[in-house]
Amino acid sequence: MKSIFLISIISLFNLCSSGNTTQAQAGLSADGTTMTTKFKVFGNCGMCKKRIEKAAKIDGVTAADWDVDSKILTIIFDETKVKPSQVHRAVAAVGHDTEKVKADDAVYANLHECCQYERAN
Amino acid sequence: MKNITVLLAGLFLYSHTLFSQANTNLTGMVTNDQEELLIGASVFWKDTKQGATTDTTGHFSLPARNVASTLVVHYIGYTPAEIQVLPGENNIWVEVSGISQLQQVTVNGASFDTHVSTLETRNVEHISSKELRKAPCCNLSESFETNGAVDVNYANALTGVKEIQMLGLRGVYSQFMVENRPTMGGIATPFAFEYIPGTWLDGIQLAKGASSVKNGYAGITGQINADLVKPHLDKPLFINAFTSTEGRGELNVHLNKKGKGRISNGLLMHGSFVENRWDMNDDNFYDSPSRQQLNGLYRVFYESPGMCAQFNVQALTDHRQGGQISPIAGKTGLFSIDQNNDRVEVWGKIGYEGIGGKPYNQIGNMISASWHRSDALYGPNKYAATQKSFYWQSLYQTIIGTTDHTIVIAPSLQYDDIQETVNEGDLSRKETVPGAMVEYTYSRPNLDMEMPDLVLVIGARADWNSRFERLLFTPRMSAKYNFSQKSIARISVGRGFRSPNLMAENISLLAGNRALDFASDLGLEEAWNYGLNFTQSFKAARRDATFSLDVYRTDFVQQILADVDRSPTQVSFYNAKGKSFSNSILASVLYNILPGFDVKLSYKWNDVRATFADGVLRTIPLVAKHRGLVTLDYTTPNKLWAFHTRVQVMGPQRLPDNSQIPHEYTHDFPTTSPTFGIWNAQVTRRIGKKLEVYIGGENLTGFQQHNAIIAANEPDSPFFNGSQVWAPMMRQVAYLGVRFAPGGLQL
Repeated sequence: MKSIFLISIISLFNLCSSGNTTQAQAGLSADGTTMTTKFKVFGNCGMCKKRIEKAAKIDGVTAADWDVDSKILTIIFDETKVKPSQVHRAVAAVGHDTEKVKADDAVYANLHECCQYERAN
Repeated sequence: MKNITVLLAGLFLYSHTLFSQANTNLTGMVTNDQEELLIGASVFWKDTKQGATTDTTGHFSLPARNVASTLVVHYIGYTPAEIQVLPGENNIWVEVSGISQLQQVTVNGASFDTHVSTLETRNVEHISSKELRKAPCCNLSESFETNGAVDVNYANALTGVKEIQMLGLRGVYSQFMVENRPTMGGIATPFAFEYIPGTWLDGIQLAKGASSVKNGYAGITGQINADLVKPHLDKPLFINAFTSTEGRGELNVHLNKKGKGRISNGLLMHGSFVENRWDMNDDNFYDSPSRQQLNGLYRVFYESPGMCAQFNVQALTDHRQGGQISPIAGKTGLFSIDQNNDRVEVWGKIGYEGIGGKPYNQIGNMISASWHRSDALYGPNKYAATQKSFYWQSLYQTIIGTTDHTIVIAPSLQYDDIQETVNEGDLSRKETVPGAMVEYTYSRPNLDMEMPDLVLVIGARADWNSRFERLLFTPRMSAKYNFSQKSIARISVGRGFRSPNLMAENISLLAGNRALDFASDLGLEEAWNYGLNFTQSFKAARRDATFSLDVYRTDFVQQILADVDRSPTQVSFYNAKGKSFSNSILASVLYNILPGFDVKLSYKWNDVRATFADGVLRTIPLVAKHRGLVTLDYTTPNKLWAFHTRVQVMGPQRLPDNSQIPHEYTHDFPTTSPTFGIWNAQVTRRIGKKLEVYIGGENLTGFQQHNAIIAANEPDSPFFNGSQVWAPMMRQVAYLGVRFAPGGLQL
């Protein structure tokens, strides 16, 4: 049933292409197009925090803050330039699993000993 | 952009403060983990009843909190998401995950190719492109043949023009739109649906009863919206070829190029001909005219964050020849039919979102201009018309406080300049209709149901019609209530008007010798429409099923009747002399009886009556009181074979009063048509990912109306008339077609 909702409601307000506008419109927003999002990134320590935040600040991300206790990474970004999935990948690339993207085993193995967080499986 | 906002707001007497109330609001949007926006997701503060629903662009807005709080997002089929929001944070992007679950549900839930949405406020039937492939669907009018809501009448015996009916009334009482833009009105009306080739269609939405006031005061019985394929979503190359034993050949080619940047181009081409030499009922007249049509549409789409635009050009030329096959002994000349149509239309749209820093503020503009020429010879009658039309609309949408309350305002302008002559008579006219509308929508989020359980839409518009010098006020409302996720009731009430184009809409009458008599006081038609719908989804023997019931009444305040009963040599047009209404009930059941096997049963009851000149309330001729449709669709698990078959049953139809016509002209013309069934079937075979072949047959039992033309043996007679068609004139027709896309058909 879900997919039906996706398809059917879109035509209510047709700016341009009627129907199938979901993807096209994804990521449209306000003035700044500045958005905030949060997701879980696995890590342990202050060293992890530095690495995660540095990795997250790809082009288009204006601020990144990772909380050691909650493991939540908050990013503020320009959504016309970058999508959250790219940040997930950037963080995973330096060895930290996110709730969506798993880091490469070899990269994880190379992390400092104190940063070897417990992996889900 | 802000200036436009203020200007527009001022224009419509809505103070700008209305739009700035959202200062203390938290805004954001909801996507799935593929970063696609989700519409109708529930967003609320944890452990409170304070929430909102995401709008048609996936955005929400709700009162902000001044302490750190947890925001919860629910969307059916996804794991609920929780996100902690600190004071001062804004523009939150929330992602819900659970794509594996979604795919699973897609397979189950979307197995019906025609469906009534459970979320939409109005009773809208969606016909997907998959449904359209179940029949040859060479053009839009044929695409309704698998559908119970719209009836396609049998073509006029002489002109081949097919008409549709919605809620028991002629198609002219519904509004035709292409991508939500009214088009092909005026002199194009009789041919409109044949000018949208079937492969161009991405889907059709049928909104029954009083629907949105966004698109004008027309659409008394509903709106038919055709969505066309878009260059950035369609296949780069698509070819469809079709041929049938009727002598029909057709070629459709789509070329699409998704640009490197934000620009996409598409070219849709159609060429078709019917070389009809059939006279299956031996009346010395071709069963339908020969036809040649060339039709092309070029589209340019531009999309960037916050802005999207499109530009389109359509051009077509269409020629038809038919009529008498050989002269009658002792007479010279033939009663021949020759119709030519040429059309060029240009339209563009431009939309902005996120105006004034608020994602839910949107502006949409559309503009179109068209030129249409229609020339025809019907035996001795000569028809010539040219129409120039212009349409502009600007829509502004925003919210009031939260996304639970949305408002749309739109000014519009329609202009038609019609030069029309019939023989020596001049019917030329101009019509300018400036107008404005406002529509308010309230959605009440229901956290348990994870969707709004109550949606109320109240709209109204005011238009000035220069042709009739009348100010028209059109109020409409609709509401939806969910008893549960699977059980929905809908109600709609509204008024509609119609500016008639009597000659064009009854062009087929020229192919006959009846005198046309127009009363002098004919004006706008006006009616109220009342509708109820109930839709229930359920499981029967653990398989999905949907039951739907529609009950509609159209009550005319003013209706123009075409009286074909009073005299067999004349058609009189006059205003109904009293009550005039249509009651229509449609009950349908869809059942996924086995994996890949769907059954659809529908039954329709129409009671359409009007008070004629003699003061008698009489049934409108050629409308069946009872109609039934059974469709069976089976697709093999490997999707290589698909089988579609349907049987349509037509109950008796009253025929016009032919009692005054000498029997030598009418032969065995009945007063009421018999009940009959028409059986069609199609088999589709997929070969690899790129090619698909389909073969089918129409009217497999060969049911046929033998005498469709009165006085066929004497076209000079005042009784000569080909408009009394209640069944097909063609016996079995077989067809064969291929669809080919080198990049994959994506079935």
